[in-house]
Amino acid sequence: MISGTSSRQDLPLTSRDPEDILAYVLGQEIRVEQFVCQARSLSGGLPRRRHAINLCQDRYAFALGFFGAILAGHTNLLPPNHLRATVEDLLVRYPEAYVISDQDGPDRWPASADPRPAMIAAGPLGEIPWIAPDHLACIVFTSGSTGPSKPIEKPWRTLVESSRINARELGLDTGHHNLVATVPAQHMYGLETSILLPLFAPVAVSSEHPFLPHEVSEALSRVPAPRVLVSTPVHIRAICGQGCSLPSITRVISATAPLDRNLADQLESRHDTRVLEIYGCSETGCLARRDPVRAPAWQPFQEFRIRRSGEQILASADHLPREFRLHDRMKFRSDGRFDLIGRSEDLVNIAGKRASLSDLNRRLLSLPGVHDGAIFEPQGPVNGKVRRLAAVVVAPGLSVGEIRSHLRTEVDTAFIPRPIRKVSSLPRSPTGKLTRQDLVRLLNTEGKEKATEPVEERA
Amino acid sequence: MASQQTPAEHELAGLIVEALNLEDLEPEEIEPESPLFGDEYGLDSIDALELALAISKNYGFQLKSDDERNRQVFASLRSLSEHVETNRTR
Repeated sequence: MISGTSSRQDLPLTSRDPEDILAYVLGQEIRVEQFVCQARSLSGGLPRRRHAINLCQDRYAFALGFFGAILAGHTNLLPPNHLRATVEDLLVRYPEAYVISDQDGPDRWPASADPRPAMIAAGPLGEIPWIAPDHLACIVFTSGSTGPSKPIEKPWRTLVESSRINARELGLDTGHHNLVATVPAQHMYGLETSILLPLFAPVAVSSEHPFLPHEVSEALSRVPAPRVLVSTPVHIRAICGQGCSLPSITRVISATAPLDRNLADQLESRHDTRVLEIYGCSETGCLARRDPVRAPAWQPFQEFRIRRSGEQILASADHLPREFRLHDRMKFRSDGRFDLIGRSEDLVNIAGKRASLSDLNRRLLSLPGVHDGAIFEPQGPVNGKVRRLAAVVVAPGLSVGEIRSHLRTEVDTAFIPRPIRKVSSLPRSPTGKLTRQDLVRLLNTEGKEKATEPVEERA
Repeated sequence: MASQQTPAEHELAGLIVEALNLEDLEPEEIEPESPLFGDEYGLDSIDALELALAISKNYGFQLKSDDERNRQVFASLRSLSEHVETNRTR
């Protein structure tokens, strides 16, 4: 599968030169040859299993784990979050899986590997490894909840071709750029931009995962210009809101949710930069872009074909294993560009994480002590602030705190309703249906649960 | 185990509840020494960014943590309040 017996169709691990800079780790430049040597060194010591669950926090450690697993002929499993229940569920579904982690601490997993010792390996490059195009490089899981979710399979050729397309569309295929990302490497957007792109475009990535605005600023200042910031509307709002000073940035790339035009405008004028927005999903990767300040319509990448089939919007491209349904509603312009006009009804997207409302509701109703209940979206976005879900619940024997902590064992924190309101009954129609309108009204009229219940209940 | 909020902590707790839309919670219900993020109150990273923004607007300084792995400042209402009182400019 891997080099040595490489066939003519095999694709290289990287198209960059051995001496090119690939990453910045603790102020040090990491060149392609070092990276390849370290990934090889790690791959030799990985458990003799088939699936790697990569939980690394450091971006470079993640990259070593990700490519080390591929070189060992393994498949990476990318869970939607790092909840223990999510990882345990994957270990049950994939009995041949092991964990790759760069964290010390109590959360030890039965079979695991740590890429940190490999980070000091140095040696001759040897040959750039080649990988079979159909090798299943990773499986992405998208559900925001921990139950069975549909696995999305990514053969190596899909990742290679997406990276080449992204490099061109992001304007990063020429010159050299240094990239700082506020998004996690495990998320498809973070994986494409901060892990894969540097292997196929003249880009070096910072191993940091900055979070607060001043951390973003410091991480940017630790890499040389020209700099590119890969981020989301949530982080951009915090950066603009704090009037944070930033070193010069050539470009800001934003994805996961539409960026408010005023916010994009503010960022561009204050920091003398240009914002490029990306649209995509875990199934397809990045597939369209726009200039939020000057041209609000989305321009699909030329390799993608987007078509309407009844109520559904479908996207395909030669490098994808099959056609995928997009979960947004779109309106097409005559020139092929499109506008986003909302999401499919059952789907919620909170800060880039996706979940099905019917799945969340099923989980709520299955909690012991919950007689009836509904989770729903209370209102539209309020000036760029992340909007949470709300819930009304009939559960006479449970406190709001108990409902919340029960839910938290099953559901990603992003989707924990806020508020959770206890009610005596739900306004169901004779056929059992609930309208969002009635739920919103109920939320606004029922008194909120005050500190009348014992505060010390949690013991 | 319950410990009394200081006036500064109470003021900050009010800001947390307001900025993060924690309607279920009264400011005085936030235990000064319980972890702010994680299971108890259900706060996550989106909240941390929102809170950093609210603190800069209300107290006139930018929240800093020692390094990205060691977010001591966010550990509890008490540690956050001590940090705010040391650094506030208004």
